[in-house]
Formats: sequence, structure tokens, C-alpha cells
Amino acid sequence: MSYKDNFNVFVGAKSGTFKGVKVTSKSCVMKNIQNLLSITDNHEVTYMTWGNSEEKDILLACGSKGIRSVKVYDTVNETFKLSFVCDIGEGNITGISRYKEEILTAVQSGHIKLWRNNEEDKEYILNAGENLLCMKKANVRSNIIGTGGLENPLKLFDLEKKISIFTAKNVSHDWLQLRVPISINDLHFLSNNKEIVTVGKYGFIRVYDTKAQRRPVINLEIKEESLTKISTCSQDKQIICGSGKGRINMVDLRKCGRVLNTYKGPVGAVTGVAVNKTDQYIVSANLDRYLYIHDLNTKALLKKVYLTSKLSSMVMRSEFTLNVLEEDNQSNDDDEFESEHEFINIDDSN
Amino acid sequence: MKLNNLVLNPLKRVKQKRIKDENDEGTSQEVILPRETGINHIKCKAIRLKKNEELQREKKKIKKLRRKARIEANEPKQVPHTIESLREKDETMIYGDINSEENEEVRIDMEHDEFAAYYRQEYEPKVLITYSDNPHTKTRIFGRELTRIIPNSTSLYRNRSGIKKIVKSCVQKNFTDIIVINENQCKPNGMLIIHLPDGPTINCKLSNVKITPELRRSHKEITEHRPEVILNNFTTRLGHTVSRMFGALFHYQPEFKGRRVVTFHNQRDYIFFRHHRYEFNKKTGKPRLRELGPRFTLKLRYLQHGTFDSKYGDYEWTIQGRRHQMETSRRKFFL
Repeated sequence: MSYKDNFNVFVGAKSGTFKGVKVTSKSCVMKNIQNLLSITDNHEVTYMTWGNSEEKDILLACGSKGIRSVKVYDTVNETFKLSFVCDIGEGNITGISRYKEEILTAVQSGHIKLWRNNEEDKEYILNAGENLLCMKKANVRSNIIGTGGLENPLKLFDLEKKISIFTAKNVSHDWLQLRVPISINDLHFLSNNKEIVTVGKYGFIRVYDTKAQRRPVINLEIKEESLTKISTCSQDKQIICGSGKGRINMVDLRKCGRVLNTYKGPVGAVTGVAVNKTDQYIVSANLDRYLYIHDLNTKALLKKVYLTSKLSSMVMRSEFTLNVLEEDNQSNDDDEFESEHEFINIDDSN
Repeated sequence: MKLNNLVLNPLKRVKQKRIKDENDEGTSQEVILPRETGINHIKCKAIRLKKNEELQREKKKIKKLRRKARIEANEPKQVPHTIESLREKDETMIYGDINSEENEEVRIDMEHDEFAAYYRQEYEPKVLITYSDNPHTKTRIFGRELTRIIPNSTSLYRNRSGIKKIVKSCVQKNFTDIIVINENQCKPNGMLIIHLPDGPTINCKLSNVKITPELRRSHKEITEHRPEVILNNFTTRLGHTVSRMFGALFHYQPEFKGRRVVTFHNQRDYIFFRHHRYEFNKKTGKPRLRELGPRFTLKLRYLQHGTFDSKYGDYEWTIQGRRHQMETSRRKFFL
């Protein structure tokens, strides 16, 4: 468990820095993992995710214009395990995941490739269409991935058979009989594994049920906001979404969906959002160079950490908590709600 | 929380102590009635005024004596407290030299931002100045004067074209920046600056515009020489980005022969623009300034990542729609 105590949040930045952050209610320690002096233009972090659910290693996508590369950072040994150049297709790497110990990448031009260790094949295994902005792997059935982008509807692929198994259909025309534009910035598989939530540039939050129909089963809109990132709570019927203007909202997906809490504080675009296992905290990375930690239920801003560079991605350990029990935090003179959380936390651990 | 951020006024502390002493006495002894030193109870106006004058004179005298004593005792001069000096601390403030070790990360951040190529002197800026549709006289003159100030810039009418379209065609024609001057009620009131090819974009409120005729100058006084640029008092990380943006509008090599200088001075988040010609007195060596105009004031509304997309773009900083949330104190500034 010791490596898990080391850092609880990792962030990647536009400038190329990659940092580990340890946030607790009292202190905040950060460390540049990527050596600052070695940073070039090809280090810009564009995407970051955990290698698997054990949260031992982080997959990073670097570079946007010149050379694009994939790196694997090992949080146990605190070193970069592996790095290779991803020279397929064009544009940013928009998604990475691990499939059977091999790394799967997706780039903006739609090429999805599985990087096998010894094979030097230049061919991609799937083409998901132009302007791909998001690629994610299903939680349970590991051979299924979902993709989507600008004017690129949600598609599900089976990696074993290398075929498309689901393509979403656009919603019907609006009341002026005009076509509704498609955009998917981020998608997330719900834990029942047949429903998928997508958010996009035009402020739509859509839930697709692959068993039911090709059109979304829930379709709601936050007007005048371009939604950038989503994350699910453990209750699963609630999601958190962040927008380009710095709004973070909780959305309840029961019945026809409803926008609930707004979490205030950020002044720039949200580039990463995550909820911890116990549904207490929302951690969000922001383009305004801050990391925000909100309370999920009270909506209070608990902590705001300045991280010097424009953050472009973030991963958080699922057992993230502000109150570390090892520290002697009796008789602290902090805010009331913080001490409240301590009690909740102690209860949870028992 | 807020009190900790402020520097305490030493004079005030003395006062607080005195009040405490009085309170202590009051609790231990009998009740003290307020002293009657005022003159407000005098009903005759003439006498009241006279008395007031006397009182004021006495006060001044005491003040003078005190000052004299202070000078004799060689006490250090007191620094007046201003809103700036009592400014709330911002974590993003950059102190000291940018090349020092503690600012290393900021330096690296700046070396890889969108303006890095300009500051490495890899290209010469080429600026397009345009307007909102159907600009009125003042806006047009203002824009044309800006073209005289900014070297290698052209002013064009917009012809009802969309900004996103302008951005596309400007990238093809190797422009490096676009300035759009917005107007309302025949007066320029907004300025949008887009850095090409990949942003960022800033939008500023534009106010107090004085074009050269209003300053009783002539635009002919503005020479063709490339000006020097002074970016003053930008302290936070956001301020640095904004100042780099303004800096990147002008050519990196000024022609000192023209003795023209352009100033962007930030004070309490308002950016004051002034344009001068300087001159050194040959005998004394002292500089003299002549304002050439125009002058205007800017206030940042948002900084957006990428080229113009106000509806669906990713903002780096915005105050729109959250002013009450962000402007928590008179002493809080963002630039």
C-alpha cells in the first residue's frame, strides 16, 4: 500500500510537465516527475489514464504537432517503464487503453491501433472516422471500446472480431427541422455496461442504451456551455460534468435526467474530473492552472492548489481522501465541514 | 483569513492599545462620560465656525510639531498605505528574475507557449486591424491610428465577414495577430485580440478612448519608426500571459532613432495605453515626454485558449458571469 500513499493525484500539463500531487487537508506536496530541463515541444500531455483498475501505472499521450509518443509511468517504482513513438494517422492522441497487456491508441484522424511488442506492422486495426475526440474501453467487457468525436457519432467496436457492433443515430431534427450537430468530447461506460454517457461541445448530455435503440434514451442540454469531461459517481446514476467555461455540474440520470449541483470556483475550462470511491470529493483539473477539490454533497470548495502550468489532464487514485488517518489531526482548527469529513471517513474505514 | 493577507497599519495598532487601556480603567473605576470637546452644540453659526477654525488651527499646529519631532528623532519615513500596497496576495504572482531557480517551471511554461516563437525572434509580427460592421468615424480613426502605432499592420473593413472566417483566411495570408475593435453608440468599446495560428484570444473592455484630434495632436506626428514597448506592472501568471500577448503585437527590434515609446501600464487590473515621443535634454540629460496619442484603457474580460470561439471554446480565465464570485475584495487583482 505504500506506493498508494505517495501521490494521490497525477496531472499532465500543456507545457509538458507531468506532476505527482499529494493533497491532504493540511498540506499539499507536489513533485515534477518529468525532468523540467528535458522538456521539449513534443512533451505536451494530451491524454492520461490509468493502465488498469489496480492503478499501478499511468498511460500518457504526449505531443500534439511534431512527434507523438506514448509513455507508461510506473507509480510503484516511480519510473517511466516504456515509451514509444506513435506515428500512425494524424493529430493528437485522443485515447489510450490497455488491451491484453498491449497498448491501444486512437488518434484524431480515426486510426485505432494495437501496439504489439515485437511486430513491426504499420497497419491500424480499426478506423473510427475523422475528427475522433474520444476513445474509451468498457469497464467490464474489456474487448469493447467506444469512440466519438466532432460529427462522428458514438460507435462501439469489438476488438477481438475487429468489427463495429453499434453506431448511434443522430437525434431527430429540431423544431425548425434543422439537423442537430453531433459532437462527443468525452464518453463513459456506466457500470451496468450497456449504457453509455456522452457529452459534447454543444452542451448535450446523452445516454445511449445499446440494447434499446440507436438514438439516445436520455437527452438533456446545458445551454451555452461546451462540456469537456465527465466522470461517474459510484452510485452510477449520477455523473459529474465539466465545461469549457469552468462550470462543474452534477447530473442525475434517473428518469429523464436533471442537472443538479453546480460546483463553483473554477475560472477556466475543466480538463479533467474525477470522483473518489466513497463519493465525497470531486477533484478537477483546470486550464486556469489550478486543481480544485470540491465536496460532492455540500458543494463547498475544499481546496484549491496552484500547479504553475496549464493542466491538460488528470488521474486520481480512487481511494483519494483529504484526511490521512496516519497524521495526528486531533484538535485541528480547520473549518467545520472539514472536521465533519474526518468523522465520516473514520466511519467508512471501519 | 483576509486580515492575515493585509499589512497592518502601525498607527492603528497604537490606537487599539489606547482604547483597551481606557476600557480597563472603565471596568475597574466608575463610568466615564464622553468628553465634551465638540462644538456642535453651539447654536450660533458664526461663533461655531470661528471656534471650528480655531480648533483646526490647533490641530494643524500639533501635527506640525509632531512631524518636526519625528524628523529630529530621525525616525523612518512612513509609507502611506494604498490599495496596491495592501493588495491581497495571489499565489500565482511571479517574484524576482524569471531565470532564477524558483521560477524555473514558469520559464519552461513560457518557453513552450504560443508566443515562444515570437520571443525567440523567429518571425516578424503582421497585424490585421478590423472593426465591427459599419464602424463610425471615431472608431475608424482610432483603428487607423493604431495601424500607425503598430508596425507592419493593415486596417481593413470587415465587410460582414465572421471572425472565424477572418481567422482562417488570415492564417493563410501569414498574419500573426488580428485586432477587432468593437463599438457601441459611435464609440469604440471593445477590443478582441487573436494570436494566430493557434491562439490565444483575449477580449478587453475598451474605454476612455482619446484619438489624436481630441488630444489636440496630429496623427502626422506619429513616425514610421518601430516603437519601443513598455509592459509595466503585470505581476501574476495571467498578467504575464496578457503582457506577452501585447508584446507580441509589436516588432521585437525597436528603432531607437524614432524615440517612440508605447506603454501598457497595469494598475488595479486596468491597462492604460499611452504613446509618447521622448527626448533627452542635452545639458541636464533629463528625459522629456511628448504624448502623441491615442490613449485608451483596457480591462480584461477573458483569455481563451485557441482562436476565437466564444461560445464553445476552452477558456483559460474568464470573469464573465462570475464577477460577484471573483471580486471578493477591493484589494483583489488578477493581473
